[in-house]
Amino acid sequence: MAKRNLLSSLRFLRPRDGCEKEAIAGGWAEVRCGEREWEDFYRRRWQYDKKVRSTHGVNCTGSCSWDVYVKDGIIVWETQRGDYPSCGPDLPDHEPRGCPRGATFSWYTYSPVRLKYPYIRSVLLEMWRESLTSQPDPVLAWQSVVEDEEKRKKYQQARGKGGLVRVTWDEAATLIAASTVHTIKKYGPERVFGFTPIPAMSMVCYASGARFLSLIGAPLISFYDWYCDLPPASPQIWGEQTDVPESADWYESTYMIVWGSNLPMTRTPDAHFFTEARYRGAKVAAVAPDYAEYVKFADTWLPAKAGTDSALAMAMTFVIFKEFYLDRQSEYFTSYAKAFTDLPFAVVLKPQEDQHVSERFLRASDLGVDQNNSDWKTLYYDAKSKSFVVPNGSIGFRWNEEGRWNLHQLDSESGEPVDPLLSFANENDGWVSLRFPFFDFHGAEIKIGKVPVKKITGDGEEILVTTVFDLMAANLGVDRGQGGEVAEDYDDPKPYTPAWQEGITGVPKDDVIRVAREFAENAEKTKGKSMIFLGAGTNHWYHNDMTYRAILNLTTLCGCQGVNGGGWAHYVGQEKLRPQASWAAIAFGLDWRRPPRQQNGTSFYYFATDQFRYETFDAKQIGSPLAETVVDKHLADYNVIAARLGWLPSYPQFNRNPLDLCKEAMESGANSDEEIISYAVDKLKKGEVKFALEDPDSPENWPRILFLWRANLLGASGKGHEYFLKHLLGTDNAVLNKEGEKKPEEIQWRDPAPEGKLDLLVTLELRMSTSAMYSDVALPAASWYEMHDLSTTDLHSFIHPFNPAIDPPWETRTNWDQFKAIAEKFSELAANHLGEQKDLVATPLLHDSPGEIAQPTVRDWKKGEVEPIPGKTMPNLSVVTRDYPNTYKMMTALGPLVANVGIGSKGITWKSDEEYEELKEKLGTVAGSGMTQGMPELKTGKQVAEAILLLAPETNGRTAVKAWGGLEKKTGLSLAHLSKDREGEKMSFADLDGRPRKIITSPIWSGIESEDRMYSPFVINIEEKVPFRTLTGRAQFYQDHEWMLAFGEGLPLFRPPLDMQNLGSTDLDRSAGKEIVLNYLTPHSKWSIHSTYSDTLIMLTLFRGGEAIWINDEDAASIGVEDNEWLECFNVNGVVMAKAVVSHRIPRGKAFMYHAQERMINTPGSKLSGKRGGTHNSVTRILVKPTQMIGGYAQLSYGFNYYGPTGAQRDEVIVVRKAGKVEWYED
Amino acid sequence: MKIKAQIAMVLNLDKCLGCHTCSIPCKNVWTNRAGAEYIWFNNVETKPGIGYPKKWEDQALYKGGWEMG
Repeated sequence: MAKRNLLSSLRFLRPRDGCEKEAIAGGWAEVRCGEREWEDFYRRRWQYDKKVRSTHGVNCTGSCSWDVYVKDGIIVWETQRGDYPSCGPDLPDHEPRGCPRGATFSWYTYSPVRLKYPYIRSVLLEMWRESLTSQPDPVLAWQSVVEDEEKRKKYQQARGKGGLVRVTWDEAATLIAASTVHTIKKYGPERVFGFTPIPAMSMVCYASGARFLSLIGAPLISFYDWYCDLPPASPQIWGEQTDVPESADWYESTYMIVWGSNLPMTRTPDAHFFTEARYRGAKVAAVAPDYAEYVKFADTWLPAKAGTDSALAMAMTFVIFKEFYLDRQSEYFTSYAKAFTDLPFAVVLKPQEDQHVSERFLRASDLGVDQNNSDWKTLYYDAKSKSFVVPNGSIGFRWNEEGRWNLHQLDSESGEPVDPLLSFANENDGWVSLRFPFFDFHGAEIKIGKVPVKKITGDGEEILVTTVFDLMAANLGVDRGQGGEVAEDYDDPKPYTPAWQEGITGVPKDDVIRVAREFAENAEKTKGKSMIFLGAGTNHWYHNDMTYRAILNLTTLCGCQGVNGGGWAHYVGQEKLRPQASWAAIAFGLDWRRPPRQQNGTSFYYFATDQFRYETFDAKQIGSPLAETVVDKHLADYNVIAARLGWLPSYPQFNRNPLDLCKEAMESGANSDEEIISYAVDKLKKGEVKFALEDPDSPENWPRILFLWRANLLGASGKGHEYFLKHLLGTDNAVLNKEGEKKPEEIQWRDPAPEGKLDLLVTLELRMSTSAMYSDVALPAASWYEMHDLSTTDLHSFIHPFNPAIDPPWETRTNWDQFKAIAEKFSELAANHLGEQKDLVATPLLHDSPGEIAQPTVRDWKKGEVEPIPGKTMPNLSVVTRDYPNTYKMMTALGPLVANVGIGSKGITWKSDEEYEELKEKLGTVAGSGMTQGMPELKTGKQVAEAILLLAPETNGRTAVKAWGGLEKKTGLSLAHLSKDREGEKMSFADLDGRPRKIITSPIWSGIESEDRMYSPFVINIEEKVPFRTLTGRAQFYQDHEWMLAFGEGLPLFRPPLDMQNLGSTDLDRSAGKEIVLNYLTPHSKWSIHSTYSDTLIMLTLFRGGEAIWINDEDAASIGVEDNEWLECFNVNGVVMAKAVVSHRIPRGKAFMYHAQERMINTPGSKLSGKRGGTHNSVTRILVKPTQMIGGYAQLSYGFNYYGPTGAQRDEVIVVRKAGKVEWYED
Repeated sequence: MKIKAQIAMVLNLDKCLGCHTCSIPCKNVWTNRAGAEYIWFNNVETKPGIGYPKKWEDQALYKGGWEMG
C-alpha cells in the first residue's frame, strides 16, 4: 500500500507535475492545476438513479413512449424513447416521438395544482358527520341529508366555490358508497352514471370505474360522439366507427389534401411523415379558412370559408365524376366502383307530382325472391345475364346463414359470376325527371335531374328503378344530353360546379378544378394512393356527416379506400383501442354479467342539463322539401322516438326503479325472466310504465350520481357549460337564455325547470381541474408516471406500457385502487341494504347484432302501428341478476363467462377457455373463500393489463388465429392466414416494457399488420373481400332510411352551416356599445392537450397564459381592440372572458378560441353576467341532429362510441366587445 | 488556449413544425431551475405568415436548401 499522509490526500495540496498556472485573455481567464472539484456539482446535477418507461394518457393521439428519470426517489425529468420497431428499409422510422406538452408532464408530479388528498366540500361534510352521529348506518345517514331539501340545496349551491376540506380515504369511500347504495335502492342502478373517455390512452384506468359501475348496473356515458370527434359519416358509409391509416402510411401517399386537420400542431409526433412524403414527391393541397400551420407545407392553399367544405367537395366530385366516369371511363375507378361501392345498386323511384323521387334500395323481397332476410338483400343489374340479381355480401347474408356474406361478384342464387352495370344510360326503358333536395344559404329548394330507368314487375306492380350512379350524376347536374337542370360547363354557376362553389367558399374555381383533377389522376396512376386528411375543423359542425360524405366522395370514387397510402385519414381523438375485445370484456364486467348499460353522451347531456328546454331549432329548418309528411318536430321529440323504438339507449330507462319492477312482476306471478319481460312490455304498452325520457325533468328520472375520472367534463368537454352548472349541478351560472317557445310533443313539460339534479358529483383526478373544483368529492389520482397501464393509438400500430417511476405520492391512488376502495365499501353496505336482486336491463338494437336488421320500415308501437316486441320493434329487454354484496369480489377476479360464453366484438365471438386457464397460472388465483375462489386474480392494475394482453387477438397470436374462425364461417372466406405467421407470439407486460411491440392482425380491425406494410384501413375488405358492415355490404354513397330521405340526405350534398344568429344566439338585452358578431371556432390547442398542460409553468409562459381568443386585425380595429386587451365574449348561453390575440392569420368574421380553456387561471369577472368569466364552453349549446339517431337499420344501428348524435358546436356565434378594465370579484 | 471544437445544431426549417419539442425537453433537463427561466437554447416562432429569420420561407430563393440538378 502506498504511503499516504494527510497532506497529500488533500487534493488541492497534491504536487502538480508539469502543470503551470497561466493567466490568459488579458487576465479574464486562467489555466489552473486541479481545483476542478466544483465540476462534480454539475456531474451530480445530471446523474439519476433509474429511468422507467411510461407515457401520457391525455387523449393526444400521440401514444409516445417516454423515459422518466428518477433521482433520490424524486421524478426529475422525462425524455423521448427512440426504440420503436423499424418501419422497414423504404420508410422513415417513427423515432423519436413526442411533443412539447408531454415533455412538461413531470412538472405536475409535485406541483401546487396536484390533488394530494381526498376532499369533501365542508358544507356537505359537516352535515354528513352530524347525521352520522344520530344515525350510524351510513346509508340512512346519507338518506337523511339528501332527502332534506334544504340541506341538499345548501351543498349543491356551494359547488364550485371552494371549501373542499381534507378527509381520509375511508370517510370519502363510505360517503360515496352510502350514496350509491341509497340511489340504487330508491331510484335504481341506472340513476348512477360514470363518464370517462378514450380507453386507448390508458385502458386499465378506464376499466377501473367502468368495471365497478357495470357490475352494479350503472351506465357508462359515451365520449366519442359527445366530443363530436366521431365522424358519423364513417358508420354511414362503411358501417365502421373509425378506421384510419397509421402515420407511417402517409409516406406511401403521392397526393395529399389536408382538410381541417392541423397535422403539425395536433399530430406533432407524426407530422414528420407528412413533411418527408413531400421530399419523396407527394403533392399537398391544404383546405383551411386560416393560414394554419399545415398550410405552410402545402403546394396549393384552398382557403374555403369555414363550414363551407361540402360545397368545395361537391364541386370536386362534379369534376371527377364528369372527367373520369362519364367523359371517359377510368378502368381502375370503374372496376373498384362495381366491386366495392353501392354505385351499381338499384334504387326504387316513386312518383311525386308529375315527376319522381328516389326512395329505398330495391330489395329481394320486392321481387318476391324467397330467401332468408329478403328485406335486407339488395340488387343490381347484371350485364351478363341481363337481369337483376341478388349479389353476395349485403347485410341479409350476415345473419342466420353462412358462406355468402362476402364481396365475390357472384349471383347468390346461381353462384355464377356477374358483371354489374353502373349506369342504365345505354340500356334503359327511358329517362325520367327526378326531384332532388337542394340546400343553400337561402333555404331548401327542389332541383330536377334526369335519370335512366328500368321497369321491373314485382309482386304484380310495376317498379321503376335506377342506379345510385345515375342518381349521383343527376344530382350533381352533369349534362348527359337528356336535359334537366344541368350545368353547361365548369363556369356555369349552377350547382354543383366549380363556379357555383366559388360564390360559397371563396375558392377560385380554377384551383378547384386543378386539385380535383390532380387528385384523381394521381389515384388512377397509383391505383388509389391519394389521401385526404380530415379532422375537427371539418367534423365539429352540425352537418358534419354531410361534409364528410361529400369529401369522402373523392376517396371512394377514386378507389383510394383500402389502399396503402390512400383514402381518408381522420384523426380526432385517440379512439383506437387495439386490444378492444379483451379490454371490453374486463372493462364492462362481461366476464360476470351481460349486457352492460351504455348511454350515448350527447342525448344524455342534452336532457340531463336541460339544454333541450332552450331549443329554438325546428326540424322544419333542415327538412327536405320533398318530404311527404312534414318534419317539424322539436329536436327532443326525435330522441324520444329513437329511444322508444330501440334506436338509441336511454338511461334512466323507465319512470320506475328496474329492481322494483322485477320485484313487482314476480309478486304478480312472473316465474321466469321471460315472464318478467312480458310483464314490463305489457305495462309499457298500457302506458302504466313510461320511458324516463318522456318526462326527463321529473325527480324520479334525474341522474343522481355522476363519477368522473380521467375526464374534465366541466372544464373541457361539457358543451353548454353554463347549463351544466344551472340544471345538473344547481349552482351559480351565467345562462342568459330564455326557454324555447316550441315545446316537445313527446315530453311531459315541467315548470319550473329543475336546478340541481345531481345528488353527488365525484371526480377522481390528478390535478385540481374545473371538474374537481365543482365536485362534492374530489379523490386524488396517481399520475401517468405512477401506475401500470397500456397505451395504443391510431397513429402507430404499437402497444406499449405505463410504469410507476415512483409509488403514488401523498394519498394518491391509481384509478384501479380508487374504485376498489369504493367497491369494497359498497359491497359491505350492500349486504344489509341491497342483497341479490333482479334487474331489468333495456338495451338498444345494436350494430353487429341481429338487431341491426330489425326494422326495415319505421313503425311506432306506441302509436299502435306495430306490437311492442323487445329486440324487434323496441329495445331489447334482459333480466340480469345483481349480486351486490359480491361486487368487490367480482371486480377483483376474472369471471367465468369469458371462458364459457366467450369474448368478441363487431359481430365476431370466440371462446377464451384456454387463455382463462393460462391466466390462472400467470396472475395467480383468488385464495380467499367465496364465489371467486380459484379464479384468476385482478387485484392490481398490472394483473388487469396482463389479462388484457393474454385475451386479445392483437397481442396473442394463437388467439388471433382462433378468432378468425367465426368470420371465416360467416363469409365463406379463408382468412386465418392473415395472422398465421405470428401465431407463436404472445406479448406480456414485460415484453412491452422491453420495447413497444407491433400488434397482430385481427378480425376486429379492417387493416393488415405486418413487417412489410403499414396499417391502412379496409385493406381486408378490398383484398380479402370481407364485406363492409353496411346494408349493401359495400361503401355507401346512398342512404335510404326513411328519416334520411325526410331530411334530404339520401345523397351527399352541400348543407350550409346553421344560421345561429337567426336562431337567436345573440338575442339578449344589453347596453349599447361597440361590438362585433363572430363565428366561434374552437380548434385544438397548441399549448395544451385539451385542458391538460394548460396550467404547467412552461406552457403558461410560452404564449399568453390563461384564456385567449384570436381575432382578425381588421375586426379588432372595428371595435377598437388592440392585441392583448381583455375581451368580453358572450351570447345567450353565457360569457367567457379572454385576452385578444389580434392576428392577420384569422379571416374576418371568425374567432378562434383554442378549446378546453378552463376557468382556473386568469379568469376575470364579466360585467354582463356579474360572475367570474367562464370556460370556452360557456358560450356553446348543443343541437342534436335527428338523422344521427336512426337505429335498428344496418350500418345506422347504434353502437357505444360508434354511432349516435354528435355534440356539434362550431356553427355558434358570439358577440365580442372590449372589456376595458376588468374586475376580479375576489371578495 | 485555443477553442478547438464547438457544437452546433442544424435545423431544417423546411421540415420544422414550430412545435417546441426541441426546446422544451432541453429546458427541462438543463435549465429548469429558479433563476434560469429565461434560458432557451432556441427561439421558436409560433406565429405563421411572416417568418423568422426574415425571408427564410422564400423558397424561390432557397429552394428548400437543396442544390437543384
